[in-house]
Amino acid sequence: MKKIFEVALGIVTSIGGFLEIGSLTTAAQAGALFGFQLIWAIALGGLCIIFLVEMSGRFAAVSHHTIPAAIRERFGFNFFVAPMIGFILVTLLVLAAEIGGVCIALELVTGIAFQWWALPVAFLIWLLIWKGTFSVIEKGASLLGLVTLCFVVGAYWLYPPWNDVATGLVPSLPAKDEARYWFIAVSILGASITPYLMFFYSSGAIEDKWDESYLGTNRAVAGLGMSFGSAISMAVLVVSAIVFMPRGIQVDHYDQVALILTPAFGYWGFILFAASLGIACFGAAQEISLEIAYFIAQAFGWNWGEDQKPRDAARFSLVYTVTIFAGALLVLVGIDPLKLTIFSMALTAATLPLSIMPFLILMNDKRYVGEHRNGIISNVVVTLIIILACVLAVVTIPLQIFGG
Amino acid sequence: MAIKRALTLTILLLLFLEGCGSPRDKATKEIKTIQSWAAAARMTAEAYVAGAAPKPYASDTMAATAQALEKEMSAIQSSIPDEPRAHIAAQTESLRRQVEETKAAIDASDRARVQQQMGQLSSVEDALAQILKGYGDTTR
Repeated sequence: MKKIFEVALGIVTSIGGFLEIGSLTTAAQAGALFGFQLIWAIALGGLCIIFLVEMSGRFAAVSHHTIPAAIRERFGFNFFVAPMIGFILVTLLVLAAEIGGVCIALELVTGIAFQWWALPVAFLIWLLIWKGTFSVIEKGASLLGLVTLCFVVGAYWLYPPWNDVATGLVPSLPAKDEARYWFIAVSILGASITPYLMFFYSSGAIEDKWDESYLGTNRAVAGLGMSFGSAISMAVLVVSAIVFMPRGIQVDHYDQVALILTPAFGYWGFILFAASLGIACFGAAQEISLEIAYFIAQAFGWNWGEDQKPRDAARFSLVYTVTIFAGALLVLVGIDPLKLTIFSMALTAATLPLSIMPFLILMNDKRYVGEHRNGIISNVVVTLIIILACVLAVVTIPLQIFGG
Repeated sequence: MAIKRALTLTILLLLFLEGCGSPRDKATKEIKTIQSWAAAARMTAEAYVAGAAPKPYASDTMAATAQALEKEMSAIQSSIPDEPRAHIAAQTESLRRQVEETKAAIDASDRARVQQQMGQLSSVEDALAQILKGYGDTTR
């Protein structure tokens, strides 16, 4: 009974915690510009993150190692420096985008410019991490994040042409604006395959003291939680395609996305959007801040753990403190949160091999995972998707920057 | 090494092709962006009149739209060739004025005036669609 409850809670928190600024924004832009044509990118990203999250949980449960610590141990510190710097820089941009998302949600409901909210939001994130426990951080925001299911209800209420939606699952070439199409496809992949998510999941497994008896739970949470999570992203795309595309709205600004749910729910659609954006980004910002601290502390062999008192893990606490306020600073100087989000997602895709390839090697190393090594299917699927995302990102990012 | 060189060449080629986009393509892109702002402004006004969007949000959106249209004006001057420039600039300026008037009506909580403005915004949208049609693009 306890196991069933754990599985159910794990799935629910995965669903509630899935949507964040990247998946919401990229799906909304994709729907507004290309209708249902980019649903395949969400499906592909979802498939990849199911495999990766399952692997990271399996790795933690069997080896009792966190991923960063194992990468450093297996490859040596010199090798580890490049992935570490790449991961931290890109994840910091993603954190800034998430803080920006919370600030935008507050701007929508109060009318006060988003920059003014950067420091109060950063302080609240910091305070909850400083005072809270891992369970509160992980489950609190995720349970509240179930509000994002309103996109699924909205999609259903707007009567989408299901045949066209299903056709979108098959990759196809766009009739116009190819560069933008591929750039958004890359951003969707970057938003779906976020390395911080799998690192956070594995650190959580260690914090929750998982062992091999949790492998079934892990498989169910990864498979069902991430599938339903991806379904919410698809619902955002579907709603956007129905609401914005016929009107010719391209989603160049957050103000434009705010009305995405009003055709389905009226005034409550506006409130539900602001709540979904605010809660989803707040939860993600907490997890990302913690993940950067986990990553650095595990890499350097410092004391770490959200359940420890800050004075017992002083350097760990210092890292998340500095990280949160650094992220808030980027919002404070007024960088456009929408552009920051889209580019940080594309950069995430470009740097995926740095984070994922060493992990894949670990997942095939008997010394760490013994008989629970990866099968050929998971190796091939993840490698192909990562390489595809990286190549597309390397080609399309310069196009977007220099080609306008 | 060969892969790196091939990738660099691909990027340079794509950048070249993107940079060489015809003036027609650039004009089409600009018009679509302006049309998108017009449609978003009208949707916001509709939502405000229907009570589906709060006043501070509707007012801020109009302000952001007017600001974005001002930026578009300078983009039009630098990227669109002489012939269609004056026409597109005139429509953009007209749209900006309508958006500002809609903002004033929202600030005054005058829903009837906002409703009137929706008609004006719709006319500018239609005019932009006509220009786009002239470029052979019928998508909205």
